[in-house]
Formats: sequence, structure tokens, C-alpha cells
Amino acid sequence: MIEERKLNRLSYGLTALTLLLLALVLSAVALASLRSFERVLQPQLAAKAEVVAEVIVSQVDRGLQAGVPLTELRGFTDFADIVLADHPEIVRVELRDAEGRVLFASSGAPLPPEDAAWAGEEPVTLGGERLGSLAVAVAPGYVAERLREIEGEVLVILLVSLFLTFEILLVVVAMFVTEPVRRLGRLLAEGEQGVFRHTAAGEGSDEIGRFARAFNGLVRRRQARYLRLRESLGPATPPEIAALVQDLDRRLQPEERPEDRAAGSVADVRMPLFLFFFATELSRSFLPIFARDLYTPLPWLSYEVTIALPIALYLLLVAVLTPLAGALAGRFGSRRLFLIGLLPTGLGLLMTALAGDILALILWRCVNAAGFALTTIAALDYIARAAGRNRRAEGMAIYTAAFVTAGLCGTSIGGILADRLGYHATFLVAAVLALLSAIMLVVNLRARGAEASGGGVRLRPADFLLVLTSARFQLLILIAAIPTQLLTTGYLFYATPMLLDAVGYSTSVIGQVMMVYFVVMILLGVPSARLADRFGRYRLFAGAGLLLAGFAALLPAATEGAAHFALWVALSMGLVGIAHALSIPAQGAILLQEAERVGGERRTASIAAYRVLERVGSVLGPLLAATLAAVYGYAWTIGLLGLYVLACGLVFTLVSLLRRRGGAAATN
Amino acid sequence: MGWGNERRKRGLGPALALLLGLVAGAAGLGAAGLGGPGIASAQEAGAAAPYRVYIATFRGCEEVCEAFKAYLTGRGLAVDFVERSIERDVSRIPELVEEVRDLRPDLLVTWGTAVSLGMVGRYDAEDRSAYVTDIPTVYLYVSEPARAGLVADEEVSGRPNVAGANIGVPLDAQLRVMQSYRDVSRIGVVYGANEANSVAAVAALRDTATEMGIEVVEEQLALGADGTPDPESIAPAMQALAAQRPAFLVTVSSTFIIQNIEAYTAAAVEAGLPVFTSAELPIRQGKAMLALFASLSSIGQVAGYQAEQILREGADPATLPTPSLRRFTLLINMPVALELRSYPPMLVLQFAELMG
Repeated sequence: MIEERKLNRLSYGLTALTLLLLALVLSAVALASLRSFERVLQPQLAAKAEVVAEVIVSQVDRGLQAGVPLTELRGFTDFADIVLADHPEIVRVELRDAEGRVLFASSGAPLPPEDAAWAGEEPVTLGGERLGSLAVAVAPGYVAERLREIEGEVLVILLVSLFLTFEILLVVVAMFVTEPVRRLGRLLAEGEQGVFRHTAAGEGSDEIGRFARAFNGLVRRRQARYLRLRESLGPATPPEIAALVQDLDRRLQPEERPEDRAAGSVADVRMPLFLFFFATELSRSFLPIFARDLYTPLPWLSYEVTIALPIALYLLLVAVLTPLAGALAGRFGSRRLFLIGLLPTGLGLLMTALAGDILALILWRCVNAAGFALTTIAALDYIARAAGRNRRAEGMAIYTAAFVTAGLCGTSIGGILADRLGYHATFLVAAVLALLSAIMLVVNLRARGAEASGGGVRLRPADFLLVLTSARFQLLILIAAIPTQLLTTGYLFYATPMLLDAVGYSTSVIGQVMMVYFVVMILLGVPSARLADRFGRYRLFAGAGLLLAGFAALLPAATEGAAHFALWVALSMGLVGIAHALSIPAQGAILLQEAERVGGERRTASIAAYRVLERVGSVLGPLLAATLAAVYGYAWTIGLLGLYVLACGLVFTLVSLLRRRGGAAATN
Repeated sequence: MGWGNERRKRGLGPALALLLGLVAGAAGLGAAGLGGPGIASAQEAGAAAPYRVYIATFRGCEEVCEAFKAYLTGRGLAVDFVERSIERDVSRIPELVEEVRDLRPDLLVTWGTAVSLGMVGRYDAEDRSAYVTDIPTVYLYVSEPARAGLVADEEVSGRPNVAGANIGVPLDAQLRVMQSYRDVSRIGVVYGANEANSVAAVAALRDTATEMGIEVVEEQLALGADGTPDPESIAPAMQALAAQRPAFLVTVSSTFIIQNIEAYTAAAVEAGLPVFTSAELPIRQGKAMLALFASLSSIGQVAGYQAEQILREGADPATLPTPSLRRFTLLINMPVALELRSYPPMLVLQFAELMG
């Protein structure tokens, strides 16, 4: 039997090698394209300088022709500043007389005449006589700065293509190598015991498929020989060989394996799920800005609440609909539910792309929320059944990985797309991705997973009551889970785009900044969970995470107005990522412990109720942030949220320490 | 990665914003509802005869009157225009009143203050027997209808059959245009105290200027034996005003000034005073340096808009709001500016029309 660990090591090695080669090739291509970009940019800049010079000189000419002397062109500075405001790459213009003396200039620091920034001079003439000239200086770092921007985007695309390739490789290797080999391995292990009842699925033209066919031929020949032998024995088995026949029956009677017939593999759903999340995450970096741009007054609602609604209402609906969707999974089966869920998702994204006012945006975001709830529940249900009881954690990890990777790719690529194509068109791209996801599902899951599962836990009001009245749940939910959710939606998803947009950053940069959070989550999520498991100090991890997150959220207010402000926000984002990687898995572990203490049959239900209740924080996040921002501005709003999380972290740590001491005293 | 490169956001200068607001598209009308697609009416469906519009003018159908007619036909109304001119002879007005009473047009249009007052009288006239009282009337090219007593109020005429538009340039806009041209801390006026409308105009100017932190200095013209200003007193008054160094001399509403516009403005320039005016005549015929005024075509159009409301919508002239123009023509008399060495700044140059 092939050792699974060796197989995994092989596929991981291949994956790593592929990614390395891809990274090298992509880097080379990126480098070449940056070079050609630079070649194009330089002459464009010169042409721009010429256009600006012509615009200003034409107005100077108008004054001269009207009889105003060159030395009396009052208001030149005001005029030049207004022209330059539209051309950030031009830093200074000077009106010089025939001897080269500076008569007038745009405002700002003067440049020495020999400075390299001076890009050209346009003569100023009247009736053929040269009276002077207009000199134009371009920003010295402009080309470099633009190149750095493009580098940022190229880097993002490179990173995202690597993640995408990784996703695809994992799926392909799982579908065509790991899973078939694992199945063959099981059959060979049976063969070792002398059992040849099962044939391998997936006879194909590749090596594994040919091997499977050869192996199956072997099995079938043995089975056929055995069946002929049994027939020759006639209907009545002589009693003296009954035990032998029974033994041979057990080993050679053809039988269909239950797991070959059943749900299939988790890998089938991974790619469509990734695409689905990718589609929903594309708008992450600009949704609040989009809502603000579409704002039209709604009755009874303030401006702040109105523009936060597309996000808040979406989160609320997802929270409310998820338990309901659980019941539907039981009725329709996960594949059909998955497809049903993609219908409102695709429609919602398409109609959002066409939305003309805030009401339409809110409405279609709600439709999207329904799609999200249905699809995620269907996916979780499918994964739970396909993975089987003993590989459920692995299945969940795959789900989470798809979500976070898509968050990373969607947020950054969405920002770039919005920058280039506009908000509406980006939603259109998202709708196409959702459609693609549906097509992959139809193809991948055609034959399988049609039957209904047993259904999830049905929640009762008593479950919520249980969570709300238990002091241990209260502590966890009020000062750990809700603040964490609140910070995620209020700071990361709502205030970050608004803050950076207000300072003047493009959605492309906003996407890159937000991506940092996801990158950190991907890199640290699993290791930090393992670390917490090893030490078993979940409360310490949860408390430290809260404190760090609160501290990180103070950064934007502390560095507001600083040069490279986006870098500070990105740092804050990364720290929140670390904090959440520390805190969220630990909170989950504490939740399980508390639920164990509750015990009884409602244990699972109480966890589900808790998960619904903590969403209160995520719904409140955007609303609170929008309301605070109207008074304090975005940087200080984030700071206030940070202070709140910091305070929660302190209380949580204190209470945990007291309990620990109390617990220790009790055991003594 | 370009994270330090913030978009540069610089607003337009306040002076430019003002000029854009006041001057851009000088032919356009600021009044709400002007322009836009026409509304089909019963008349356009061919159900009714063309409207009959009677136009009474002072000296024939000139540019304002032509713009008025062009507006109505351009809006798709079929109109038969009946044009009558009094040929600068106010004694002929009663003939026109008689003719209007006989013809009973759908609308009467009266050109200028004299013809308008002659045809429909003051709003508070007790004996109305000599006036048209039962035909909807739109007054055209009346610079100060309320002050002339043609209407009771600037917002709405308050008369059952009279409507029109305000075509004057708001005082604060006048002052801002002067400020965009040069630093203005003081302005001056030279007028005769015998004319009540001049005294009222100076008081209004002083109110607005004081609010904007601008001082108003004044010189009065010496009155002759007949109680009107002596033309000989213009030059000394200008010299006296110039000694107080105002940034501009502002013309105020005055029959005397209009009659002596060439001498009046020439004396100002002689004294080194740039003249600002909110009428067209002082800059076209005199030596005013800077003018902000409603273009003739926009005056015709805004009256046409009022006529359309009455004809097509059946609006009641008594309650029809009186619109005000918001876009004006900025004109610089370049020879005078050069003579005074008061050169226009580049932003003003960009938006102004230049003379000479």
C-alpha cells in the first residue's frame, strides 16, 4: 500500500515546484511589462507638459493681444494654479521675459533654472516678436511614482495568480491523483487481506485510470471464476464446505462500495465555492463608497445610516437566513440548494451592477444576502457529508481556506477592476463569476450528492435563551465575540474604504491595503490555532487578540495626515489580522468548552445559537461606524472602535484571570 | 506601491467660481425651468388657431424683441405677432391701447419702461380707464419694474393682468466682479441729489457694500437753477472723488447720467477713476471700463418664458413668480483699461468679452 503521507509529500512538492516556476515566469513577464510601461510613460509626460504650456500660453496671448503688457499679467499665479490642479504631474510653470528673468510663476517652491525637472519651454510671441517664454517643470518622481503604483498592482496580480494556481492545483491533484490513489490504496489493502469484492472507480486513459482498469480486470476475473465455481456447486452447498464458502463469499462476492456511490469528494466543491466567494468579495474594497455615491435621501433615515445599510442589512439577512437555510439543506439536498443559492447571488450581482440609486442597491444586496446564506449552508452541508465524520475538521479547513483566499483575491482584484472599469462593471464581472461557479457545480456534482441529508440542527428560542442567560456565554459573546465582529465589519469592511477614499487614494490601493488583513489571516490562521491548542491557554490567546486588535485600530487616528498614510493603515490592518488569527480560533475553542459544560442534547444547538447572536456585532459595525464618522471623522471613529475593543480586552483578560485563580482555589 | 501618492484636490478659487457662475454661457438663462423639451399642447395637436401676440415697442422690434419672438417660436408655439412701434413718440400710446382693446390678442407685450407704463399704468393708479386691464400683459426690458411702479413687488407683480422678469444685476454680484478685477476696499459714486431713484440706488448700494466690508464714498453734483445737475460740475466732482482713492466709480440709475454718459465717464477717466456699470450703454457709448449686464438676448428669452407660462400653461399673471436672471455678460473696455493702466487679471480675461 502506498503510504498517504508520501503521496501528500509528493503532491505538495509538485505544487511547490509548479508555483515556484510560475512565480519566476510571471516575475519575468511583469518586469518586462514594467520596462515597456516606462518607455511609454516618458514621452506621454513630455506631451502632457507641452499641452499644459499651450493652454497657459494661449491665455497669455489673449491678454497680450488685448494690449496688456507681459509684465502686467496680474493673476498669473491664480490662473496657473488652477490649470495645474488638473495635472498633478506638472509641478511648476514660470513665465519668463526675453532675457530669461522670471516674471510670474505658479505657487509653490521655486526650482533652480538648471534643475532637471524643467521639461520644456513654449515661446510667448506677439506679432512675430518673441517677448518671453513659458517654462514647464514635471514632477521629478512622477514616472517613478506611477511605476511604483503599477508595480503594486502587478505584485497583487502576481500574488493572486499564485493563489489561484494553488487552488486549481489542489483541486486537480485531489481529483485526479490523491483521491483515486487513496481509493486504489484502500482496495490494495483489502487485497492484502485476500478480499477482492470491490472494483475501483475512475477507469481512464491516464496512468491511474489504466492501473485501475488492470486492477479491476484482475478483480473481475477472480470474481467470475468464483461465481462459476459457486454455480457448479449447485443451489445446495454441501455442509462440509459451508464454512469455506462463507469465507469465500465474504472475500469475493461483488459489492458496490458505499463511499463510491455517495457524496463524492470535497475537492468537487472547492473550486466553485472559491469562485462564489471570489464573486461576493470583489466589491469589498469599494462597496461603502459605491453606496455613498448612489445616496438619495430615504424617509426616516439619516444619511449615515442610509449609506451603511447596504452592508448592515446584508449582514443581518445572512445572520437571520443562515439557520433557515439549514432546514432547506435537509429538504433539497446540498447540490440543489447550492444551485438555488447561486440564482439570487447571480441575479443580485447583476442587478447591483445596474443599480441607479441607494434603494435599488439595498434591495439587490438583500437578494445577494439570501444567495450567500443558501450557498454557504449548502456548501457546508455538502462538505460535512463528503468528508465524512472523521475528516470533518479537514473539510471545514477547506471551506475556510476558500473563503479567506477568495477574500484576498477578490478584495485586491476588485479594487483594481473598480479603478479601471468602474463600480458597476465590477459587479458585472462578479455576476459572471457566479455563473461560472454554477456551471462548474453542474458539471462536477452532476451524478452525486442528490439525496437529502439528515438536516442540521433546528434552532429553538430556548437555545437563544440558554446562551443569553448563561454567565459564561455572556462573557464570551459580549466582550469577545461581538467586539471582534464589530471591529471586522465596522473598521475593516466599512470605515477603511471610506477613510482612504476621503484622503484621496484609489480603490486599487484600498484593495491592496485591505488585502493585507487576508494575507495575514492565511499565513497565521492555522499556525496560531495549533499554537493555542498546544498551550491550551485559549483565554490568554483570546484576550491578547482583543487587546492587540484594539491597539491596532488606534493607529489610523494616531497617524492621520502622515506621509504614506496608507502604509500605516495597512500596518493596522496587518496587526488586526494577527490579532484575529490569535483570537478567533481561541474563541471558538472556548465556545466548545463552554458548550461541553452545558452538555445535554442542546449542546450543538447552543453553539449554533451563539453563532447567530454574535452576528449582532457584525450588523452593528457599519451602522455604528457610519454614525460615529458623521461626528468624529473616519480615523477617530476607527480609534473609538479600537478603544472599545481595548476596554473589552481588558475586562475579558481580568475576568479570565480572576476565574482562573478562583478555579485554582476551588480545586485546591 | 504608490501608497504615498494622494490625489491632489484643489478647489477653484472663489473668484473663478463666481465668474463661472455669473458669466459662463452668457446666453444661458439661470431662471429655473427655462429651456428643456417642450410640452405638447392642444394647440400643437392642431386643435386651435395660433396665438395672437401684440407687441408694442418704443422704436421697432430690436434685439430684445427678436429674442423674445425667437424664444416662443423655438419652444414650438404657433404665434401670430402683431408688431406696433410708437416711433419714440409717447403721445401715440393711446392709439395702441385702443387697437389692443379692439383686437383682443391672447397676450400683450410692452417694450421698455415708458411704453409699459403708458399701456398698463402704475400698479397703484386710481383711474385705469386709459390702460389695458383685461388682456394678459408681459413687460419686456424694464430695468427696474418695482421702482418704476409698474409692479407692486419684486417677487410677483400683484397685478391681475401683468407679469414680467427682473433683469437687473444683483448688487452683491456687481461688487464681487469688481473684487475679482482688483482689490476693492472702497468704491465711489457721483450723482445728483435731485433724482430720487439715484438717492435710493446709492442707499441700496451702500447697504450691500457695507455688508461685504466695502466703504462707499460719494460726491454730489452741484444743482443748477432749474434744480437739475450742472454738467460743468461733473469734472470737479470726479476730481474730488478721485482724491479719496476709490477702486471703482459705480454708475447709479439716473436720467442725468445717461443723458451725459460720454462726458460723465470721460471725466472719470480723466480723474483716473475706472468706471463700473451694470448697464450696457455706459460701456458701449461712454468710457466705462468694466460692465456686468444682462445680454439683450437673455432679456428677451426670460420674458418669452413668462409669456409661455401664460399662453401654454394658462398661468395667472397676478401670481406668476417673477424670475431673475442669473447669468450676465462681463465686458471690459480694453482701450480704457490700458489708458488707466488697470489691467485685467488673467482669470477675468479668460471669461470676459473684450472691447476694442
